[in-house]
Amino acid sequence: MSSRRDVLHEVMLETGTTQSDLARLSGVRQSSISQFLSGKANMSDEQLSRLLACMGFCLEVVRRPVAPELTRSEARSWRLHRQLSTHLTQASLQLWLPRIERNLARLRGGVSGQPHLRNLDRWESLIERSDVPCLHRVLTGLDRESIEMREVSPMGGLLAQDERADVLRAAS
Amino acid sequence: MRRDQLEHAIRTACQIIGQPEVIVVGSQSILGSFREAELPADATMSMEVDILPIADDNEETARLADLIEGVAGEFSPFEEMHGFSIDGVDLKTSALPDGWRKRLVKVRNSNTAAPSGEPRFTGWCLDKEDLCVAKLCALREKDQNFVNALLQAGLVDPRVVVERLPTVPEEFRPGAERALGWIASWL
Repeated sequence: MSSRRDVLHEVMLETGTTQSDLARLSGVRQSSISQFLSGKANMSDEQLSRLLACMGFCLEVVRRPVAPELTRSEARSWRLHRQLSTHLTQASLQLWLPRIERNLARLRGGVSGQPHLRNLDRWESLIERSDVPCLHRVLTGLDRESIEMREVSPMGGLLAQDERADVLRAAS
Repeated sequence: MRRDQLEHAIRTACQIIGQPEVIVVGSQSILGSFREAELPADATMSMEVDILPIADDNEETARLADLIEGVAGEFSPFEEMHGFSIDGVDLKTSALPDGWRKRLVKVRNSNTAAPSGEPRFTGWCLDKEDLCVAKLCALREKDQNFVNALLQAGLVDPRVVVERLPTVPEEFRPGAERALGWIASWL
């Protein structure tokens, strides 16, 4: 899919619209348009749509599922955490707390640098707030933040070993 | 992670797959060149050791990696008991420059030996600049922080990293190009 910058550039070329023209038409400063086009600033779909409308175009955003590019290790970790997610409830979290707190203390003693330390803070905050919906998202998420949080996961020792073996078999 | 934990990981991985030697890739391989006390605190490291089994082809490497993972990987009883896990990886995991095998750093001592004292298993750790090349080709936040901390501490030579970056396999070249831009300010 084309980037927002490419789409804007393509329509400006097609319609012969200069940066100054577009600034006058849209009321967006020419310097901002220049920054969008050079990649120095990001623009939202809404901002792009507004600029395209000035040149007689609408923006179509296509939604489609995409298989993420994960390393072998990231994919395996996601499968294990996803399995654990099937057991996560407010009640189970309370039962898991002593183990999770021990794991967090151990990780604090052995992990260094960022983003690991920041992610340990995030885990700690979610656990303290018993934020089960957010924990489900971290256990199953495929965004970079969730992947990196699982690299310092305090969830060890909570998944039954036969379940773990099943997950690993399915992953190999 | 500490050097003694790395040595423990080497011994365990070799015992699991029944081989005398393995290769350590990932951040922890820096412990082959420096003890933990010599490393800057900002060098990003987790409690997981990436172990690459030595085999004739990638399929066999992957099979051995799975064996390691099953016994000592994430959420294993081994991790529960020892506080760190061993991640079995294959050759596709790391972007390594030409000649990396010849520069591996040997780790073999009484702590990498079986309980009876024999055999003494061997862990081959990535050379420190080769490790930086692999990290920079990925260039995630943790990779940048790791290399940045080593450079700031004067523990790796940026000129050597720059020389080796263009020699990674073809599929990693775009990453190497980005990395050359990143490291330029250190020259």
